[in-house]
Amino acid sequence: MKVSYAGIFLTAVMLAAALPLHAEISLGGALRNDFLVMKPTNNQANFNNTLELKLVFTRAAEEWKFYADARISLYAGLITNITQTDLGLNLLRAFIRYYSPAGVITLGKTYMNFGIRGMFNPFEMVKNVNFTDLNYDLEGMIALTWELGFDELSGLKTYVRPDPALSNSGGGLALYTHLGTFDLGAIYNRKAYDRNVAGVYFKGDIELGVNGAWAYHFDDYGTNRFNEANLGLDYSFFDGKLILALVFYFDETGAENSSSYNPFSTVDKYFKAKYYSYANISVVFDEFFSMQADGFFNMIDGSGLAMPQVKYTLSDGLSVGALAGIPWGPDKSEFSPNTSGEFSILGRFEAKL
Amino acid sequence: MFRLIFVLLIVPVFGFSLTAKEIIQKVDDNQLFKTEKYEATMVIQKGSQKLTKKFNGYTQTAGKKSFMEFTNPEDKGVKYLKLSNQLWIYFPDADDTMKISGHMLQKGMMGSDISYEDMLEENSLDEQYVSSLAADTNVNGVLCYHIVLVAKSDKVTYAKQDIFIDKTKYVMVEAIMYAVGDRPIKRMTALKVEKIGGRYFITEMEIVDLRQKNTKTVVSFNKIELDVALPKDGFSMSKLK
Repeated sequence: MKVSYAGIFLTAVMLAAALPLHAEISLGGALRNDFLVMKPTNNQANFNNTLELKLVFTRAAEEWKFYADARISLYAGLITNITQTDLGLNLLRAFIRYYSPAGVITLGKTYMNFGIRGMFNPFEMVKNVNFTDLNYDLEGMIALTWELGFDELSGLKTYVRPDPALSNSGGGLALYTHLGTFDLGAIYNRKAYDRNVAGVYFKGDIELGVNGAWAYHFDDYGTNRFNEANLGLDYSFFDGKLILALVFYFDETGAENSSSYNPFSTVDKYFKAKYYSYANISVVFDEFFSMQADGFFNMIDGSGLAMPQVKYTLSDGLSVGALAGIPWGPDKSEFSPNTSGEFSILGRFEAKL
Repeated sequence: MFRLIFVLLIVPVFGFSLTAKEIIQKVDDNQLFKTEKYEATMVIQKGSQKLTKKFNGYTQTAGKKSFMEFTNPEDKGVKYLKLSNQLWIYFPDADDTMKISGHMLQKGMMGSDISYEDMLEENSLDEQYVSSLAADTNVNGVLCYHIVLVAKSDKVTYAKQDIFIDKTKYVMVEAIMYAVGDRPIKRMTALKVEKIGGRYFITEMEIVDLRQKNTKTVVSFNKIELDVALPKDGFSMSKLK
């Protein structure tokens, strides 16, 4: 599978290079090293190091744009006395975009964002949470997308995702507009066979920042239905130096007690329980030094995960940072230190190219 | 004859003395254009440390619309769309657009001393502030009108501003912004003023966040074109991608 990513990437790059564009080819990216140390429950050595090279290849003209984002990663880890190494290649995106008079058309490996970007978005295509990087770039899918603006702030965006099994193909449509100080939208998305979601979202401000979404999931036969929703708020203190953001999340299919957790029910789910909250506190000391803390709270079993981090920018594109993961909660709770280890510390070095 | 000399002497003092409102109007008139295209550099400094950002963009006065795109390697492809007093940002890594709303607007743009609220500040000071004229002041060797601006409502970003206007060029050479309680927050100083298309423009300015020690942001406009054609649908969300 990894070889095919390389094949897609090289084919796409050759196609882009061959396009009759009067535009320069540009190559950018980043080199990042993450060193993670964990204190597991069995007190044995447990650490790993991931070196990731991000390569972004772009070629843009007035009406066309080519974009490809590939990642080469080298992982080395020692987990409970077993050494592991892995060299990985992943192609996150590779698409060609055409800015036509009839809308923006994208073809290739691309990501379709529905709803409001951020934590606990019910319309997210893939609900993976990367605890070492909550904003880690998401992997796209092979799709054809079309976005048409009705006016400056209103429009529709739609996509089709072919699948060898035709019935498992996906497609969706979002209508978006703007009212007062709010962005609003309505969505229907057929993610795959038996996986449909429809709903609405909003984001704006009324003295404080407010955003929310409600999604209704249903299968192809109307027998399995459930609701998912979030509500977010943000507020700042000390002239914007400290910002607090909160998100409350509801998943109707989530368990109402820790004994009912189903480890296999991961499709279209973030975590296991019915209610969660997420908090982010960010403090900007100056242009070079910032601190933030993220926290996930399982409101059913009382467990949680706190992730304080610091980041220091050394110079243009060069930064170092540290992130700690501190779980807490009673035995058998979702984030219990008895199951996920007592703590983890991650050191990060990043150079943007 | 004696009467004529008296008139000639007194007219410049009383007959042509401008009110604060008229001076602000002259500043606004000096910057009257339909469209503007620019290329700029922003240098964020703390002590000897420096971060350099490059961007270009365009502005349309009607509807208070503006667009900017960063071109330096670290932020390449990040775009901002401002329509009146609202702001959206496009992230190339996520290939997605997000509205910057609520209290997130108080954050510094790209880590600079310029907040998103500063970007959204409406052009017309007269709409937002009650102005009064104070004694003329010399700022960096330039004789200036000193105007005190007091916000008409608490929705305006700064509760008060002291602005200093060049008496000959009608360009704001310095501004000090205050929070409620006359607490100074920021200071903007014009470092370079150039005549473009018959009008005077600030082409280099320094913004200092007075709450922080030893930091400043310098914005330099390397190229400015006025009243030029802008891209079709250049202020559309769907074209932000």
